[in-house]
Amino acid sequence: MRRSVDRLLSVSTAALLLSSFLALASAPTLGADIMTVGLLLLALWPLGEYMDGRFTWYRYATNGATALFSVSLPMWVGLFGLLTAVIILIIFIQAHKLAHRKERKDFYQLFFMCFLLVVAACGLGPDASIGLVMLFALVSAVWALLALQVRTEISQVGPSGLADVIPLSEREPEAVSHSARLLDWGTVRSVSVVCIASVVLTAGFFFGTPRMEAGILGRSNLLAADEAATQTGLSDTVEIGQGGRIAADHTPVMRVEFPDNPDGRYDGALYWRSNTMDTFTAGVWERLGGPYGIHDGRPRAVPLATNDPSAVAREPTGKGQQVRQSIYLEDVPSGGLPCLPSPLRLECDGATVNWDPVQDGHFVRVERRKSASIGYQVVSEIVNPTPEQLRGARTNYDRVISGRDYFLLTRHTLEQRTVRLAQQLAEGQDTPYDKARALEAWLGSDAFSYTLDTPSLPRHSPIDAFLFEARRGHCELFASALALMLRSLGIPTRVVSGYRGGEWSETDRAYIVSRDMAHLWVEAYFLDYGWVTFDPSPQSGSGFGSLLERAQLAVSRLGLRLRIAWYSGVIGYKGGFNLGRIKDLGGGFLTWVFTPYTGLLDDGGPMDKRPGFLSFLALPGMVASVVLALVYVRLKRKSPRSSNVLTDTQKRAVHLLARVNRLLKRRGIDSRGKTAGELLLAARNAHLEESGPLTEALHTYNEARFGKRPLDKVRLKQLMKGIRAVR
Amino acid sequence: MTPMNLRIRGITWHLPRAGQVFIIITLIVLLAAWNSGMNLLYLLVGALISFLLLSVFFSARNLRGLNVICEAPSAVHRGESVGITVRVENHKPFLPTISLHIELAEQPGNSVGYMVKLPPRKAGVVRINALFSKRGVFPPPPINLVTTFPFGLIETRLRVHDSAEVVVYPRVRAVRPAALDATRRVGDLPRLARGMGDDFFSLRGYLPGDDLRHVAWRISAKTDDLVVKEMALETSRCVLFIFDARAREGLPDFEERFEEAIEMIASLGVTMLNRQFLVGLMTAGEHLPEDEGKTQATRLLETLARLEPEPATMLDPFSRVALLDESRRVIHVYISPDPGQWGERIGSAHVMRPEEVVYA
Repeated sequence: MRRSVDRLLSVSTAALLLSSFLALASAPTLGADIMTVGLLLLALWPLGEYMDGRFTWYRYATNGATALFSVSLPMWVGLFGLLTAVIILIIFIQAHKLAHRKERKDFYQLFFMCFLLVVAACGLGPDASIGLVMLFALVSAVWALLALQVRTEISQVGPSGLADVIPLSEREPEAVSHSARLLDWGTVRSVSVVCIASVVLTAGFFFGTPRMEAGILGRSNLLAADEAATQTGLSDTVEIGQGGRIAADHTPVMRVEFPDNPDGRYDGALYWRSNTMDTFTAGVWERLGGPYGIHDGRPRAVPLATNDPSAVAREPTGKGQQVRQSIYLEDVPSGGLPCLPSPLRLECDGATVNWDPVQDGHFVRVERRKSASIGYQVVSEIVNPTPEQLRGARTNYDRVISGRDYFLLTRHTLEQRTVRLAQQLAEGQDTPYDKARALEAWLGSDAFSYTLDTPSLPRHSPIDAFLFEARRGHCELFASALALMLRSLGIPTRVVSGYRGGEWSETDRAYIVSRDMAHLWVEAYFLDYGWVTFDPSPQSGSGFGSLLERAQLAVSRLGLRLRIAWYSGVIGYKGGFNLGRIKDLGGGFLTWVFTPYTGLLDDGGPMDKRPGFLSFLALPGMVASVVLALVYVRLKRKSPRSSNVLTDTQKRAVHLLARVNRLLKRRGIDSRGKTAGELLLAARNAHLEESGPLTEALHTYNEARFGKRPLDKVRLKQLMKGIRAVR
Repeated sequence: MTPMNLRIRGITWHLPRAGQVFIIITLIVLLAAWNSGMNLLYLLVGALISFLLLSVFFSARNLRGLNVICEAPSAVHRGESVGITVRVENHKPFLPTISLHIELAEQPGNSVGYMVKLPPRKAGVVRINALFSKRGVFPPPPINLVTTFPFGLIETRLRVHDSAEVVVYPRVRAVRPAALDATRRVGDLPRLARGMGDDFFSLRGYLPGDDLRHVAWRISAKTDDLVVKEMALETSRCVLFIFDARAREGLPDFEERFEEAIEMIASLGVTMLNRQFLVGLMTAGEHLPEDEGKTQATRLLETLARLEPEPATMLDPFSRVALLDESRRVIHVYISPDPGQWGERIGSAHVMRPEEVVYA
């Protein structure tokens, strides 16, 4: 018995330990590598217990290691930060406990350390898998606590204290099992019920626990991520020229809804801008400039002050259409949050945001966030100048743009043949807009092909090689080619990274953007109209041909929905009762209750402001409720219920005896303190009857009351009837 | 930390140290959740609170569907250790009862039996010893069913009373034969009458038809005539204990003397009954007619077990004897707990002194 319980305790404790490390692994800052530590600890467990107790030096060694670790603790804090150092400390304590033989309190301490790791993981901005991990931890904790409790009690009573278990029909312990084994289907059923009830109650308390304004103890972001960890398909730089095959990753990373649009769809171009790069050197795009000194008279974006660190806003220019988007993003980039161009307002749950100071105020960056994924609401101002307007734009860039920035935005490293090619293609086009369209069309023609299998290109002139030799590649090459060629024509140009497109999901009524939709395109500046998008890349074939691919897509979409549900339902939950409202509610409630009575002292006020009938009833209603409750409690105390554990047969027997006693009392026989036999004797002495119903009733009572014979309702009725007939 | 107890409807919940620490941890996490506003911490708080609530609920449910039967001998003697079998039956159809302690209610924390798991439709049996130091009618010792299922955070106790009775007889000690003679001597011996008893009555001349076994041969030889022995009636084997059980206020050690008197009656009565005497008992309020055999011994002991001091206003039982039917020849033995009455003459008898009874 004891060994089976020990085994159960070991397995459940190991599961709890694993779940704590899985929780840490769900945090992007730590990742799955932390699991190796957990597995090492599990390996340490049996080895440590073996060593402990066998070798006297073992304890000295472990105590020495503990002392060394304690001394080095400040170093960990300095190296990794406070939160990570605390996690390291917790793991060390776990290791110390696992490395020795354990008593009851050691197990409790181990469980507590696992719990602390889960708490720490919550503070590291874990992804949605933390939900499954918590469920796993809950089930493990239930089993572990149960096993520990049983093990402790078996140890306390000893083998001689265990009761014999026999079938219900047996009187003597012939078929004895010495307290049946713990782990069987009955126990599994019981524990399953406990686990399910715990999950349901947890959800109930999660939604019902009153909230407070964060920061009541001072710091509200105590557990916020120390840095906005990034893990993205987008980056701050783009390197051109590396050959190789890029694997198409259809993992959904973003979901975009248009809540203001009736059918949820958006008619315009779906370009989710995240970052711009303006400098191309040695095959690498990066951003060096900004904000640019462009003085063409266009209204500037003026950031507005907000008191909410999770929201930014700026004044609209009034020249475009405002489009609202509701976005859930899993891969948060280091650049701006992807959205349609020219965001006016952005509100982000669970993160601190601010305008990117470099990028003309048109990008919003995340400064601090509390989870791996975030959701945000954006309102963008979409300005779509017509081709005619763009053709009419001024071209005196050097007068309007500062020299430095004009140089930056038109600098290129193309070979002369490429420059000549650009000029040839632009020949006959009068305006920069037409020139840009001509080059865009040429790159998008059949002369080039889109492929993810890119050739290796020379580092210093990759675009030239692309245009003249390779003529195939992916969006980075196409965009770079267009940008540089436009620059060679004196048109200020930059490249933009982000996501292009999105697959419409009728089920979600939203656009699903997957990782393979990461894209690079071109923006050219037109005086008086700003940056205008050009995309020379042909549309890539994103069809999902095989059944497996379609199945994978369906599974990944389902996973995205579940993660979004987790994010919006748990991480981003804003419901519940706020305790701060108690003060307002309390004041309002008291006013509502007492105004009718204070109002009686004056004329009551205008008719439409006089309190209603319910207000008058509120105070007496409350008083009456309190009085009724007190009366109920008092009455309950006076009639304490019996604490007997009686079967139904025994209850009926007691009922039968009560009827007999009433009969005897009517005949002047005192039945208090008498057994059934004495009652019968007393009845006979009183010449009540010689035999018959009373005798039968008392015999039946005796046998039923003490478990020798069952007494069903029918039989009880017969006996009662017989007693009533006694004269 | 002092333990907390909450009692509702016969169930008591006790919060051990593990539960108290758990509550403190819950409060700390709740504070952290309020301070940080992190919903994941609220989720953890919900889980912790659910554990506490489920501990209360499921520990009470764990004790449901159980039937406790205490099987004790119906009668024992004072000072005698009694083996009581406690049988806990699980009448639940599907769910077991897990981790169940059985303890005596008077000794909380001291488990007399433990069941890791009591499967559905099975019973657990534990044997305990009880000692009844006083005579009387007592219920079996109340039992506590204790469980800490499922998490060990809350200890739940359900007290179980069984309304069965254990009658504790007075102690019966073996009495020396001389004491029996003493009873005869102190008793009011009526005039012997001729009968078929064992005691000698008289001698007479042989009449045809007399049993030759009754011939007193020695005396016949001396008198040259056949002489037979006549035996007395068996009425001398009929003993009535008359016990003045009325309460004596102001009498020091009255209870102790009362118990001694009862033990004396029990010891004498049982011994006589074992020797085929007819024994009866009379007090101011009770009258157990004379009878013989084991059944009468049981009746006598039951009566003595339940006998309590009677009101002093009741009629003196010693006087009440006169109201009895004299047609039967009965030895009256007068017993009183009042030392002032010891040796008092009542007719040809006197109130018995305790030292007149010699125990073996």
